[in-house]
Amino acid sequence: MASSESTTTSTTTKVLRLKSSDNEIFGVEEKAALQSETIKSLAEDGYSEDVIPLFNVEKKTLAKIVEWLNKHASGSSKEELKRWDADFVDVDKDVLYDLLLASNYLNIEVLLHQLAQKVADMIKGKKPEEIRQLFGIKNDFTPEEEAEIRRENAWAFE
Amino acid sequence: MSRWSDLPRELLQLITQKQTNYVDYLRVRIVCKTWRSALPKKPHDLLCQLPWLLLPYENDSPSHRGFYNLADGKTYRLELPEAYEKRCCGSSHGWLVVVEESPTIFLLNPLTKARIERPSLSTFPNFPTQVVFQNSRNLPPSSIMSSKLRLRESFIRKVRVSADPSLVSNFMVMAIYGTKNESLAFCASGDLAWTIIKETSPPANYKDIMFYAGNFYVVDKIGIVSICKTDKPPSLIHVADPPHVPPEIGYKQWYLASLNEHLLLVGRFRKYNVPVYGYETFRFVAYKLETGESKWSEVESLEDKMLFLGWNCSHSVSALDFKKCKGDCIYFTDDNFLVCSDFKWEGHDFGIFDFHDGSVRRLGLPLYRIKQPRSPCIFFHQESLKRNWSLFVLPPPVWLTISP
Repeated sequence: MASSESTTTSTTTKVLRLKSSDNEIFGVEEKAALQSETIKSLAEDGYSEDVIPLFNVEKKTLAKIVEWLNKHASGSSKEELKRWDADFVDVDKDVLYDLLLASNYLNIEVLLHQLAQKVADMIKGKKPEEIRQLFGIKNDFTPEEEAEIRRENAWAFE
Repeated sequence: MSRWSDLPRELLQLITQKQTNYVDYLRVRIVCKTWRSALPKKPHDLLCQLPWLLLPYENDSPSHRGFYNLADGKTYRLELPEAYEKRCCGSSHGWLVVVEESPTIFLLNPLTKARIERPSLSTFPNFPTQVVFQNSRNLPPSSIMSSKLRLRESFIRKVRVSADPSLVSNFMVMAIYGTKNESLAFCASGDLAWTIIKETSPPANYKDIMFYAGNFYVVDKIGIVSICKTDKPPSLIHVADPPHVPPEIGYKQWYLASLNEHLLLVGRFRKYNVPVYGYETFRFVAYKLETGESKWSEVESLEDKMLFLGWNCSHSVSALDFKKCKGDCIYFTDDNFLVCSDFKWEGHDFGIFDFHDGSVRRLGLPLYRIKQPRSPCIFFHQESLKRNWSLFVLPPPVWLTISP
C-alpha cells in the first residue's frame, strides 16, 4: 500500500506549513489543517502562502495534533477512528494538559471534546484526594475551609 | 507544582459538562480553590439526567432518607426531616411533592432544602371535613387509620409541576385528588387556593398527568387522553381515544410520557395474588401519538431510551450517555393505589422492564434497614394485613430527577 506522501495523484492538494512556538515547521495538507478553526482563519488572513505561526503550541504537542488532523482527514471508518481516538487520548497527564490547551487554542472542536471526555472519565468515581493525586494538585484549602465545604454536602463525602 | 490547578476555567467547565454523576461534580469542586471558583454551585449543563430513587425512612435515623443513585450504584443518605412521616405524592423537575396531615402540601428540593408551600388542601372547595371509613371487611379498630392520616394518604393521589420552580417564577401545579373519584385540580404559583376541574359524568378517574408542549395532558382510567387547560374557567380538550389493546390478564394502569418528541401512552399490567406479595408488574405496552392526528400506534421499541415512571413525572433519558445503562427499558416504581373502599400498597413492586425481551428485573439495590410501619395504619387492605410487613418497602420509592 502506498504511503500518503508518494500518492501525489492530485496536483491540487495544497499543503499548509505550520510553525510551532519553538520554530519547527510541519507540512499539513490543507484539508486536514482546516479542521482547526484557528488555522482556517489565519489561512484566510493570507498566511497560507507562507508559514502559519502557532505561537502557543510547542513542537512535541503540534506533532501530536498534526497526527490527529491527518488521521481525521484520512477517510478511516467510524469504528477504526473510535479505536484510534481512544489510544490517542490515552496519554500521560502532562501531554493531556498540553493537548487540551492546544486543541482549545487551535479551536479543534471534536478533539477538544474527546479530551474533555477523557479527563471526565479519569475523574469519575474518584474522591477529591485521589483527583489531587492524579493531577498533582495541592490542596490549598485550610482544614477549616475544607471541613466547612464538606459539611455543605456531607452526604456526598460519607 | 502541577499546572492542572490553573486549567483555564472554560476547559474545566467543559470537562464537568461531560460528567454524568452530580456527585463527581461536587468532588471536583473541592479539589482546590481555583477549581472551586471556576465551577458554580448549581451546574449549568451537567449530563447527569439519571434520576435518583427516594427510599423509605431508615430504621436507625428516620429523619434521613436514602437516595439510590443509578449513575454510580450507591445510596446516599440525605438529612431530610421535612419529609419524615409525610407522604410523597410525586416528583417533578427535582422537587418532591409532600403532603402532611395538617393538611399542608409543599414542594421540597432535597438537595437545596428549598421548600415552597402550596395552598392547603383545606382550600379545595370540596375538601371533606371528615372521612368515614366504611370498614366493610370488619377490620380490628387498631388497623383503621385515623381520619387525618387517611386524608394524608389518599386525598391527593399524584401531583405534577409544570416547570422547575428554582428556574421560573411562573409555574403550575396539577393534582389528581379525591376521596371517591380521581379528579383534577390545579393552582398557579401565586394562587391562594386550588381550582377544581368540573367532574365529568360519569367520573373519568384520572391516572396520570404530564406537562408536555406547554400544556397539561391527562389520561383517565380507560386511556382517554385530554388536554387540561388551566384558563378561567378551566376546560378539557379531547386529544385521543384509547388505543386498541389486545386483551390481557389483569388490571391495566395508564401513564403518560414522551419519546422523541412524541406523546407516549404507556400501559402497565400487574398480576394479583402472587406468592409473598399482593401483586407484581409483569408487562408494559406503549403507544405513540402520531403528529397532527388523534390516533395511537404501537411502539415496538424504546430504542436507546430509559423511561422512568411511577410516582414521578415520567422522564426519559438516553442510555447512550451512560456506559453501564441499558436502553429500551422502563424503570418503574410501585404506585399501586386502588381506592374504593380500601386501598393497598406494598411498595415492593419496583424494577426494570426490558422492552426488548419482555423480562422484569429487580433493581437489586442494597436497601438499608428500613423503618417498619408503627402500626398497620399505612394501609388497611385485608390482604395486606395478612402479609409479612418486613417485605414491604414503605413509603414506596419515588424516582426523582435532581435539580441542585
